[in-house]
Amino acid sequence: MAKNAAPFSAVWFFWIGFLFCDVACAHTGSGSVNGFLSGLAHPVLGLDHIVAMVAVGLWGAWLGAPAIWLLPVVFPMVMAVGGVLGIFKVPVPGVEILIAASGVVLGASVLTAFRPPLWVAAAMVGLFAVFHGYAHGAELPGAQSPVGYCVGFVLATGMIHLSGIGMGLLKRVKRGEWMIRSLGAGIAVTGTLFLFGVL
Amino acid sequence: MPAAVQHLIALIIPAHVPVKNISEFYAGILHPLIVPAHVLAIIIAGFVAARIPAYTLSLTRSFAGGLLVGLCASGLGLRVDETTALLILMIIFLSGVYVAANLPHLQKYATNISYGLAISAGILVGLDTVFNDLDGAALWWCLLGTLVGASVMSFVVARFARLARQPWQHIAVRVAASWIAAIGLLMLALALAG
Repeated sequence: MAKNAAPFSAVWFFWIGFLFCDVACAHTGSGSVNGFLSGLAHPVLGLDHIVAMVAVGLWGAWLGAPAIWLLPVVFPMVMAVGGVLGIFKVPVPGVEILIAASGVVLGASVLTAFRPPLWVAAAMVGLFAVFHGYAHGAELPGAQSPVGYCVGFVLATGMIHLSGIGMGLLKRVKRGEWMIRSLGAGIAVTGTLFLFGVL
Repeated sequence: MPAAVQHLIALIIPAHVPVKNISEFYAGILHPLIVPAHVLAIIIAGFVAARIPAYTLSLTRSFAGGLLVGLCASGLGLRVDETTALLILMIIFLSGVYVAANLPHLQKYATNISYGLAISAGILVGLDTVFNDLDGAALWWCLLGTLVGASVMSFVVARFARLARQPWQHIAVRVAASWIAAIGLLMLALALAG
């Protein structure tokens, strides 16, 4: 296993470099690249989005299998449904409030080690995903390259979930549970600050 | 012919072309890579083929067969409207959901569903591959290149997905399929919204 690790990493490093070499070297400013990068940046630069998505990964890792993979599968698919609502400008009330609330609820779930039935966890994550998707979708038609934007923001969302899952694996180390709960507390506090308009 | 394909042809024409029409063939190979919907359709067709290990090779051949039919229809002048592009996006979404959900009660129908999705994806990608400014031998070399490029790409993806042995590797394929489904749904919505 250890023997395979280095070549595997090297191959992935090569492909990631290959994907971005055109962007880095040519700085062409072409539409699809800019659309992809702005889609990639949107979830990463929006703190309200990022804390909720990290919380999804953290909570999934905390709950263990099958939630560890079910929640990150549910989130992008339901988020796309929210995105469709945003693209068609379907009026959805309280989007920003519920995005902030998602940080509070999901962070608190990690903090309190809340273990609901799997379908309840999936439904909670799915509900919040709709509002996150709506916010992204509303910006899609105005993007320079909507297709690139779609690909970018779905990939970024997935990567943030994976980072949350990676942090959730801390539970295997000494005091890992304490660290995960602290992260949950931080997410809940951040969500609360967004909820009251402090951030 | 899309400007990107013309650019590709210009890039790969060497000073002394060793084989007539070989540059069109190369451009045809690369064509699926420059159309986002085609890339996604080919990748997800590979995932669909890998879903039933005993049928992976047969399913990739079915995709290639469907592609051959679609490309021949396109080469013979069958022109379809933008509905084809919408259908490709719908197939991407449905295939993504099918692979990601991996529903146990669909196992009984898995073979038929997989063949249906693989063949449909092949036909639609073929029909949507249009080289307006080419005709005669150049057109058919381009279409042949697309057949080879897309079939090989789908086969490689399917073989790669079949390498999954550990549970987390199977999950990684399903997570990737869910991302593709999400992208397909959003692209479909964008296309419908105009």
